[in-house]
Amino acid sequence: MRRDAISDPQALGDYIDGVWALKRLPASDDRYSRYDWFVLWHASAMMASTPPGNSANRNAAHSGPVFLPWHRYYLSRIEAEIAAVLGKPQFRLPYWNWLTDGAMRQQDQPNAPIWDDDKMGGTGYPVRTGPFRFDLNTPDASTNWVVRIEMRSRTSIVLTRRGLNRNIAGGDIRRLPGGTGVKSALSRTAYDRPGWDRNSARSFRNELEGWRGPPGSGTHNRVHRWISGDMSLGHSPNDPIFFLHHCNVDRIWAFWQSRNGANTYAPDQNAPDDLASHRLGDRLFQRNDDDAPPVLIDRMLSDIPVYDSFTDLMALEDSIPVA
Amino acid sequence: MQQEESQNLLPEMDHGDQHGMSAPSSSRHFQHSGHSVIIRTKYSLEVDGVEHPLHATIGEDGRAVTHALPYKAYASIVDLVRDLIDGYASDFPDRPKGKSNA
Repeated sequence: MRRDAISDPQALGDYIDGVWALKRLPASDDRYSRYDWFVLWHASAMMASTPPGNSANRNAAHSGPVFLPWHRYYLSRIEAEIAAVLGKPQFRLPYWNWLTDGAMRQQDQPNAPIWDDDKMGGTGYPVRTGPFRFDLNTPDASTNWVVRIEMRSRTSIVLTRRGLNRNIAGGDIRRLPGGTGVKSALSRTAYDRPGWDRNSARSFRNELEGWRGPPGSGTHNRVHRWISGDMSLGHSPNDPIFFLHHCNVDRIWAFWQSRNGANTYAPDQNAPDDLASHRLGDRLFQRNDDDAPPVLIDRMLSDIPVYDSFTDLMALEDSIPVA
Repeated sequence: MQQEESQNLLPEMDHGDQHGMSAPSSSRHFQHSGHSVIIRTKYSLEVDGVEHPLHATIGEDGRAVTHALPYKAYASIVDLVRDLIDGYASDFPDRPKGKSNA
């Protein structure tokens, strides 16, 4: 069962140990680690436009219907690898409930417990506190969290060697999402709608992703931009908070599925070819160097992770006016 | 500290032509007063006298996006470029001293 990272310190501690173990494990290309390979996978998906050249920036993992299934699959893969590397088959990813922190006063949000030194650490260019710090003066360089995979503005992916960057609440977004955006998303009965991109109206997926919704909501996108630094770029999984954030996004989808039906997804396979990679029977994007078997979108509709609580989401649901 | 190594990891992938060095173009289609209209947009970016490929597109809603800044849509391409320069500072090295803004 996936649990709240704050209420289950053991799960969060295992997660931190697990990502560090993957960071020290060479990938098949030993210029970078297995953890870095996951970063590379995400950046690669970000750059795979579907279809090529579409003007809405819909890609193989974002700004379209596949956003939620692809990230559910992505989480399941790193969860399985952390479980294996820790030798703890029962390991499950914890989630960071940013809705809880979003209910705090704006000035208190950057000091929420998740950013404590014994949890995800603090902010900075680079981050200098917590388990993912980078300090050139440290006597033991192996404790430095070194970013290796980086997207560039010219839309290439390169190797680098630097610390992790965060600018929590210091970019263009000063506060986390409150419940308004999630409440609005939960009120949508359609998983997604035409035109199947960031412009889709009254779409659960699009509102949860954060492209549409009440003014100031932003949900998933807003969390990335609130943390800022590496989290605001296509190589965002360089920051281990990424997986805790997306685990909460997945929890919200799982709750929505419990209300609207597990197999509620659109578009189906009759949709035109320019929606390839987003139709129910299409393959989820994998890298060419991934030896795992192909997985179809529809499998992610039934492989729903178990979460410890939907209590906060049920309260939001109860506040939705009855039509 | 930042050290960039020369290896570009992109060629391992099949990304399509839109990730070549040339900038993509956007097409917006609509009907108006009985006319069928297509607006094609292609950006050209120059910073400090150096041309940079700008992989930005503009959607039906008039907002610009780039997967270099994947979690935001911009009402202004100027704001997008500002964020691009700030977010990828190492791609835009400091201008040589003594060069004017003219």
